Amino acid sequence: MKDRQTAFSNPGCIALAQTPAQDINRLRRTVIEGVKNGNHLLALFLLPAENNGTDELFAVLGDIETRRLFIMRAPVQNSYPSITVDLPLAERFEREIAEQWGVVPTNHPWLKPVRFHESYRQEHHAQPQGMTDFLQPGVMDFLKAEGDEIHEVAVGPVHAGIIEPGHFRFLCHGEKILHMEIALGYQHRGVEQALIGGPDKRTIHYMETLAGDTTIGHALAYCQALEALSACEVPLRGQALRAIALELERLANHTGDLGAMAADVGYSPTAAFCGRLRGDFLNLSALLCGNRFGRGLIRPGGVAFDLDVGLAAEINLRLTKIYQQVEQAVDLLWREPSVLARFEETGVIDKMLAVKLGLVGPAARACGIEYDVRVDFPAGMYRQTPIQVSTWFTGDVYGRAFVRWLEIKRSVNFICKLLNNLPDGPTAVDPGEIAGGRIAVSLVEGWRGEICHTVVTDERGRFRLYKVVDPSFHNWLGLAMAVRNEGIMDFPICNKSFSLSYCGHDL
Amino acid sequence: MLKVFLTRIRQGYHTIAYPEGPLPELPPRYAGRPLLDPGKCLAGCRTCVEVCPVEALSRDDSDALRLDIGRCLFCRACETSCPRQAISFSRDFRMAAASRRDLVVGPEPERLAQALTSETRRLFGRSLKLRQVSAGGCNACELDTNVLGTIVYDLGRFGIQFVASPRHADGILVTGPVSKNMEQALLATYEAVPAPKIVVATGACAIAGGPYIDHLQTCNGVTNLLPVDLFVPGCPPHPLTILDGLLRLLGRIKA
Repeated sequence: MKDRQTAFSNPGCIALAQTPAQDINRLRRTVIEGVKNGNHLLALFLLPAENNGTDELFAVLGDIETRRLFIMRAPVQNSYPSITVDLPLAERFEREIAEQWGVVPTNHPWLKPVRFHESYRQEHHAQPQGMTDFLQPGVMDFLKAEGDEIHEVAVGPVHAGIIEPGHFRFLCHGEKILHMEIALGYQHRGVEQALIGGPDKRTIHYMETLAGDTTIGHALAYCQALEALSACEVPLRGQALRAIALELERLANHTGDLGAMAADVGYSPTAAFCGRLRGDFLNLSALLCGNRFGRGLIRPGGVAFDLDVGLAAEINLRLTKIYQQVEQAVDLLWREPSVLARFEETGVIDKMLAVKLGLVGPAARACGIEYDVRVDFPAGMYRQTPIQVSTWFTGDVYGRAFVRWLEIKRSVNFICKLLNNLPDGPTAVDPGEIAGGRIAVSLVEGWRGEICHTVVTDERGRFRLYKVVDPSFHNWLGLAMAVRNEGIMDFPICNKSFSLSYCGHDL
Repeated sequence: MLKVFLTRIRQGYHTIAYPEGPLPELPPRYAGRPLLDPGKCLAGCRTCVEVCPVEALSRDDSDALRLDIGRCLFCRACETSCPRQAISFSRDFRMAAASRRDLVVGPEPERLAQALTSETRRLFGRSLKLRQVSAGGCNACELDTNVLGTIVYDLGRFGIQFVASPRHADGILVTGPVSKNMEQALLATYEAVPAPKIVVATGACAIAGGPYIDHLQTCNGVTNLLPVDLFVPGCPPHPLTILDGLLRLLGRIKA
């Protein structure tokens, strides 16, 4: 196809001027048909006009068959025909564009606020007239139903546990959830806007805190994008250490989630063991760089800390021991009928729906979707040391738990393989100058799923736009669909099985 | 059931001995309380001040170097950039303080958090219930606060517990820079806690705004909104730093 002539592999960049520009109707058609043919919509955003130009709508797509990424753009005026009408997975992207720039996707089913902030352009907003005068977090139209025994349950933004803020509105018939609506935006702290004009000395810290539990994932996506822009090749040893850190992050979070899922069904042995073991994995990351979340490790050009023979052996030894204990702790789950009774056939998403919603990560793989950035768009060490995709077919809480367990096993194997064959040489190189007038895309399979960073640079190589798509951005609607027709008491376990990020979504 | 007992035996005991026992060992690369050696500073040198991403370092007219650990992200950019090794990060995790001023490391001797007044200690010393409010950060502080509930730290043994409702709480533990979208919810939660009540600001964000300092969308932490009784620095603070701070506040650790 002509649109794909400028395709590149992950991570990569092309000159902004080379990006195929087309008419909005054609872009719309290409995106819709592309996704129907199995391409992934990685990002959809608006690049605001510069000096009397026109706003442009950008779509970033990934073609799994050819392992190539491609970008399209189309000029838009104040509105354009909505893509969501034909492609529900574009729903949140279009709401975001409307909220940020006041560019309205016409016929979009429901343009609710995403993060409850004012429009980036004064006097230019998509909400009904007067609405922005009192734009309050969580104040929006919620779905209604009427009848005997129909009632609403409102939860949040301050929750009962130690978790991030969000507001959930359950529409119930007795104890059965008819529908759950999610209002996020409470964690909005203006990160994407603060990145414009960068990179500067604070940029890497924004990346490491986009979502604290995905410090390595987001920092890596950023560094890959920067390296694509400066044509920098990270030395093999640096690539290996990055991959080890990324898998350690996955191990800690997956183990913690399995423990929390056990806790949510009242099974305390696994909950207690896994809570502790999660910390043991975090302490391995701290051995690498001093910080349990991996802060300070990933830097443009490579990694900031090396691993000597002694430390590598120590990590290898501890990892094997922790893994054995995780195996014992998780094994109890699969043997306990009362746990399985709560896990199985709860919160089911079938494969068709998962594709329609554009789910990513373990939530998608639990429905039988074989998609993993590490395999489908491999970068760095994953090109040389492949890792197997973990899938299951049930699409329920059990499936999402089981896929995590499979991934734990494979990540441990992968790390051991790398630790035993660490390439020699330097861990980092000078990343060099960032090219101007370009657009770069970088993908990483974080523990929650596909992370996509898109950067547009100005002529001087400064960030003109920085777009972050956290996997949660794709998956929140999945949770809302999963709890339909479930008992309201099963919401916590469904929620935990998705384990989504609020801050990664709110930015 | 037998399998559960067997696993329990195999997993062993993991609760740390702190504060009665020895200080727990932290990884060699851990960055704890910073140590300044202003004697090594070059006259007029401002390298560390300039590389700091959050303006935690300052050098005044008398050339005295000061590091505000309330702002510090512990990224070590200052340590790496210093041509004379005048700044280093120790492995000491004890950093919590009762007043904002005590977080500024400089020529003066350090002051760790002190116990509440005898009246409040009588009220909270044996049983402290806290409501946690997450207000716009990155979730790392929340995660490492949650860790206090695991068997490793076993917060319950000190009579400290996180509760589900502010009405059941003696105070709130705030994380995050307080996004504008969370400001009202935070204040409402504080109002719902019966007096006398305490406020704990955990992490660089809650103390001063963290990496989001001076963003229009945040309030630069809880310090400007509520009276804070305990400041726990770090990005995020190590669970031990939080535990140590809470225990000092209650007068359970004196030294």
